[in-house]
Amino acid sequence: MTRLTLGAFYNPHLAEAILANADQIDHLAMADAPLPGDRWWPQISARFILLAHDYLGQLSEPLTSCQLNRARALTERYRSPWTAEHLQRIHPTPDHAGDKPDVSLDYVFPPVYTEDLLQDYTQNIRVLQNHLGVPLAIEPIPTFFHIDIPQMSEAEFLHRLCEESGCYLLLDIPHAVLSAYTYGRDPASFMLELPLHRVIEIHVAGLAFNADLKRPWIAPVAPDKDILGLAELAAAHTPQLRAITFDAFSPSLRFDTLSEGMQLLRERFI
Amino acid sequence: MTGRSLHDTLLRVLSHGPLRAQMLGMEDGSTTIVSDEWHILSRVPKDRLRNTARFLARHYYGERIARLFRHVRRLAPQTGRDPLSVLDSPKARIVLDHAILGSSNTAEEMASLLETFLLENAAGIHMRFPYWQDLVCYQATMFRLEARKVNECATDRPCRSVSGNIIEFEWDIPAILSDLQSSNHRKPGTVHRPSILLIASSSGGQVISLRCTPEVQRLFNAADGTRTIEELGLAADCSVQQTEQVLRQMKEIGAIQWDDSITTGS
Repeated sequence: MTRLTLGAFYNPHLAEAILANADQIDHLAMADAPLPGDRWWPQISARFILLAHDYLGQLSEPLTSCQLNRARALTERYRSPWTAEHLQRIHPTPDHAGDKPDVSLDYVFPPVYTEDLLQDYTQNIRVLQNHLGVPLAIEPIPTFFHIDIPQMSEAEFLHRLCEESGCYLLLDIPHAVLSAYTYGRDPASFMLELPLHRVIEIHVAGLAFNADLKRPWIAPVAPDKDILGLAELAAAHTPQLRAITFDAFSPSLRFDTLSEGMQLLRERFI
Repeated sequence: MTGRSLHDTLLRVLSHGPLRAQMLGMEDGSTTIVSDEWHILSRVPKDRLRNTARFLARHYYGERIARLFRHVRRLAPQTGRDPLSVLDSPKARIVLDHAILGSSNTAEEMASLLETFLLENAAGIHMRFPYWQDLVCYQATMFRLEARKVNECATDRPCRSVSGNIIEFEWDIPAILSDLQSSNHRKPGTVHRPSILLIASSSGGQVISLRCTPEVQRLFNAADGTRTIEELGLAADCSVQQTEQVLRQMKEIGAIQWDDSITTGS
C-alpha cells in the first residue's frame, strides 16, 4: 500500500527553515520553478518528494508544443509522481492559434460548466497526460458567483471530466467550501458529490474574510477545525489518496504559519 | 452562444473597467452593446461583478508591486513605506475600479500613486538612503515597461521598442541592488557614481535591466527603424558583427524590434 505523505508548498524565502524542520514535512509542492540563485535548492530537491504544481497552460485551449515540453521537463526535473494543474480559465480565447491572449487575470478563475468547454478540457487534458507520462491531477477552482445559464453542476462536470479524460482530481478543501457557499449548499454534502474516488491529493488551508469580496476567501493562514474536519471526511472517501498538502504559498508567509499548518495535518492524519 | 463565448465575455468584463461600467450602466440605456452573452452577464448582481473585478485587480497589481518594487520593499522596515500598502488607499481603489488589467494607462496611474507615496516628504529617508530617489525611479520604470505592449510589426530595420528604455542614474543602481540582495551594509558613498541602464520588458513579461555601454546607448538611440545594420554600426562605432550581436541581445530582452530573418540590403 502506498504511504500517505504530508507536505507543504515550497516557499523559497523559507527554504532554510523548511530544511531545518525536514522531519515535519514529507513532500513539497512546487508552484514556481526554483530561481537560478536559490542556494538551498540542491538540498531541498535532494531531501523532499517534489510535486509539480506550476502553471502549465490554460487547459480549455490546446497547449503549444513549447508548453507541453515545459510541462514534461518540470515533471522530470522534480521526479514528480503526478503533476497538477488548475481547472481554470484566466484568459479569453486567443484571436489566432498560438497568439498571446490580449488579457490574463493572473489569478485562478473557474470556467463555466458547459458541454462545449467540457469537450475542450477533456481533449486537451488527454494530450497533456499522454505527454507527461505520469498521472495528471486537476484542481477545481472556487466559483465566485452564479451565472444563470444552462450548465452542469460542478460535481457532474468533474465526474465526466475524470471519466472522459482519465485525469485524477486534486481536491482543495477550502475551494470546495467556497463553491458550496456560492451555490448555497452545505460544504460536506457538496464535497461528497464530487468524484472522490479519483482524488490523488488533497489541499488544506485556511480562509479569511476578504474586504473586496465581502466574504471569506482563500488566505495563507492555518486551517480551522471545520476545514480539517472536512479534510478528514474527504480522506475517508478517497481510496487513491497519496498526499495531503498545506496549501500556503506567498512571499508574506511566515514559517510559524507553515509549521502550524503542518502540525495540524500531522495531528489529524498520522 | 456557447459556454466559451460567454466566458470570454466575462473575462473581458472583469478585466476591463470601462467595459464593465457600460455593462453596469445598461439599465440607463447608456450602452449600445447587444449580445446574448452581454444580456446574461448583466443579470449577475452588480455588486458581485464590481467586487470580484476589484479583488482581481488588487491581486494583479499587488503581484506586480511585490515583484517589480521588491528592492524598495526590502527597505520597508527602515523606511516605513511598503509600496504594497498603496493598494489600501482610496485613490488606489479608484484606479482598481477603473483598471484595464495589463494596460499601460493603468500601469502609469498606479506608478504615479506609488511614486507619490514613496517620494513625498521623504527627506528623512533620503538622509539614510541617499539613493532612494534613483531606486524608486528604477523600480517604477520596470513597473511601467512591463505593461507596454509592442503593437508594430518588426521589419529588417531595427527599431527601439516601446517596452525598452535607457535611463541615466546618479547612483550605481546594480551595485546598490547587489548590496540590498546580500544585506551588505557598505556606506552609500561608495556607490555614488553614475550608472546607465537599459531596461526592457520581453514579450514573455520578464523585465530585465542591463548596464549600458556608450556603444549600446548609441546603438539604441540610433535604432529608429530607418537604418540598416551597417548604418547603425557606423552610428555606434561598432563592426557589423558586433552590431548584429548586440541587436540580437536587445531584441531578446524586448528593447528593440527587428526581424532578423530578413536579409538586410545596405
